[in-house]
Amino acid sequence: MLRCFADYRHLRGESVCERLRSSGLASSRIWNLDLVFIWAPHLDLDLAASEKSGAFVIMGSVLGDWPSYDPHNFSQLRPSDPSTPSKMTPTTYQPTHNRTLPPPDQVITTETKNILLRHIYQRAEEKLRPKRAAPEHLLPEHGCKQLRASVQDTPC
Amino acid sequence: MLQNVHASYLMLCYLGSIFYLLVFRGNIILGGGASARALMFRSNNIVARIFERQIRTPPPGTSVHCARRFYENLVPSYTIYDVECPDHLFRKFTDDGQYLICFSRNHQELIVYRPTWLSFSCTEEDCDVHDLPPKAKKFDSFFTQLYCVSLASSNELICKDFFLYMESNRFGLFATSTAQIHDAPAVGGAIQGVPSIEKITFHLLRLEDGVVLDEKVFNDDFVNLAHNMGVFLYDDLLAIVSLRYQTVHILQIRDSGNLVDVRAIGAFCREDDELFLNSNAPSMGIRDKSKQHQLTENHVENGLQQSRLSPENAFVSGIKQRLLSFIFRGIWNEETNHTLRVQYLKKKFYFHFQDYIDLIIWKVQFLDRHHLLIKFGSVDGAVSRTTDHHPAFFAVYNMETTDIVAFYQNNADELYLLFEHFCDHFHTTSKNSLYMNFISSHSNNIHTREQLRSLRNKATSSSQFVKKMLASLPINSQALSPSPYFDQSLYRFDEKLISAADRHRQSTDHPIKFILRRPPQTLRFKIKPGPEGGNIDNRTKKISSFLFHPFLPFALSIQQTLFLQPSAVNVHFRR
Repeated sequence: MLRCFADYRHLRGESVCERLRSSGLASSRIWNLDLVFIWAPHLDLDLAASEKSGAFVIMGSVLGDWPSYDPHNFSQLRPSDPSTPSKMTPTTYQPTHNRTLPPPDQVITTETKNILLRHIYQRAEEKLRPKRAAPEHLLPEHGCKQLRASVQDTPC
Repeated sequence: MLQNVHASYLMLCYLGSIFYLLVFRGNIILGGGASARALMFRSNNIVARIFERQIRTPPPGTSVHCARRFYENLVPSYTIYDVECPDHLFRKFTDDGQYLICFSRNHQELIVYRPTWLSFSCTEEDCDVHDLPPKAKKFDSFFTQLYCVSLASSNELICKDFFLYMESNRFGLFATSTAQIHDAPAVGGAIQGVPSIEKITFHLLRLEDGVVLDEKVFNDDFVNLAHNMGVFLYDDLLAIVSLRYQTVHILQIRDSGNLVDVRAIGAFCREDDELFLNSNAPSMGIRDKSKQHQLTENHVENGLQQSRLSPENAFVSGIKQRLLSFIFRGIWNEETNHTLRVQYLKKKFYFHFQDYIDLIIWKVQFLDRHHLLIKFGSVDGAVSRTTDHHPAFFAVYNMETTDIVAFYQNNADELYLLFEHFCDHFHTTSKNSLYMNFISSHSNNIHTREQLRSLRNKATSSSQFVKKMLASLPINSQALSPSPYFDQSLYRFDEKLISAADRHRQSTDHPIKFILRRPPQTLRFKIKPGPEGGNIDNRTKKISSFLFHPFLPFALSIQQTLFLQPSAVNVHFRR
């Protein structure tokens, strides 16, 4: 079971610990984790709150009282000096091409029309689309009141 | 906390399952493989459910649904029969559960109660055995009267079926009207065949203290007030359909409590259309200036003047023009071949031209702040109850661009498909009231969808089925109760006897059963209207109506005979 912990911790725990450390609230006990704790979005807040209230935050030292499958699992991750910050940065991947770059002026917003109206508009456009060529001369321009008046003059 | 954590951790270790523990703000969440789930069987016991709620977050997006499952445990199972209550007409609970709206028997006063709960104490060992003390079994134990306001003057009556609630500001909209005149002459742009009411007043009240904030008067007009049919509230926008003058008045309810005119769609689409047409009247030579003066009347007291077009006008303006041109263009665009096009026009458009001209607006609803769904039909069907035999059409109208976006007949499969897939978007609600998203409809509930499917499979004619389904569009505003007891995924009940819609129903002597949908699928509670021993007189027809509190396990059932006898009110609540 603890092997799972280890893997998980490798994926997430380091970055969590890093953040805890950088927030200045970390202590040496963090490194001796055999369980990973993920906080809610407001990481620092939670930690501060629970430290203040004295609630149990981090479980003691490595395998203190806790049963574990293999005590040597965590031997490599024990830093000796809590004052030196960890040099580990998460690996990042840079793309080698720019085909997936968004356009520079892209703004992502929520569509204001709800899905029902979107469908209605889509159907309406589909009906108009194939016969675009012919009715051009028939449609009066929108927003031009003078033109509309003259069209209305002639009976339909 | 440490001990609990340690103990549960050990327990899990010993069971040998593979999980990982996550701490989430001091609580512990369990997740994991199939063997883990076997542990976490779903108990119907309320304590077990509460414990599980502490230790487990629901799947994403289902937190409200999981919370509503507690309504399987808290049920209004206890009934107090024939409560002595004041002889009012009980209208409904407001959707936030803060007020109970009642009208006096003479339809002239509004009485508002606040729902409270019983408070009495029992000092003995086993209190469940004891019945409620007699003084607890009164109407006053459950409601406190806030105020009684007189809305209608001498010859007016409050329309008892009309009530709209604006939750964000706690405003209520009520309507009073004078008597209906059926054979009103069609003067001043009114259409023939629609009755006239001398004065309709809409009152906007602040429900906290009963102060009338604003009023809106319509003179010699007709608005269909029954069950909120002619008025639609969306957020802070009101759409009032004046059937007689064929205008949709859009009003805004401001936070200060004022009813402000936004626009009036009908004869004119944009706000300055009237000015433009009037200024060009001499050049058109159609409208006589003297006639114009006769026709201009003040219909709306807040100062908005509208001149009514005489029926002799040679051109169609406003929304009718938009509609006709949309139909024309639609038919024109179907074909590129000119002769075929003209043929289609003759067949589909000019042949029915008079019918299209005669169409009137029946009903309107908002689809969002800029779009209206308008139902058009013939004059005969406007006020009649059964609209099945009358042809009807639906149009989607954009108020900002004044365009008709779509036009369907009432047996259009396309519109039915949209209705079937996106039913919830037709039940448009304001952004503020989240609970309204959980009213069971066939778009958000599998049981309702199965019912719809079975109806569709049983239907003999698909176009009749589509017509029947689309007859419910446009929907009535605030017509459905948000009570979780009507949630189809929680309970199964007889839809003919009781449902979320607040209509009067035929009353039976048998209690109405609410059966759980989920296993163990047992009967959870019964609602029995009428006196406890059943009705003595079985010959008179009785109708019953039910008022469910939006979130408390509390309901009122009111049984009345058709004559003006006092009604029997039962209180159903969780003891």
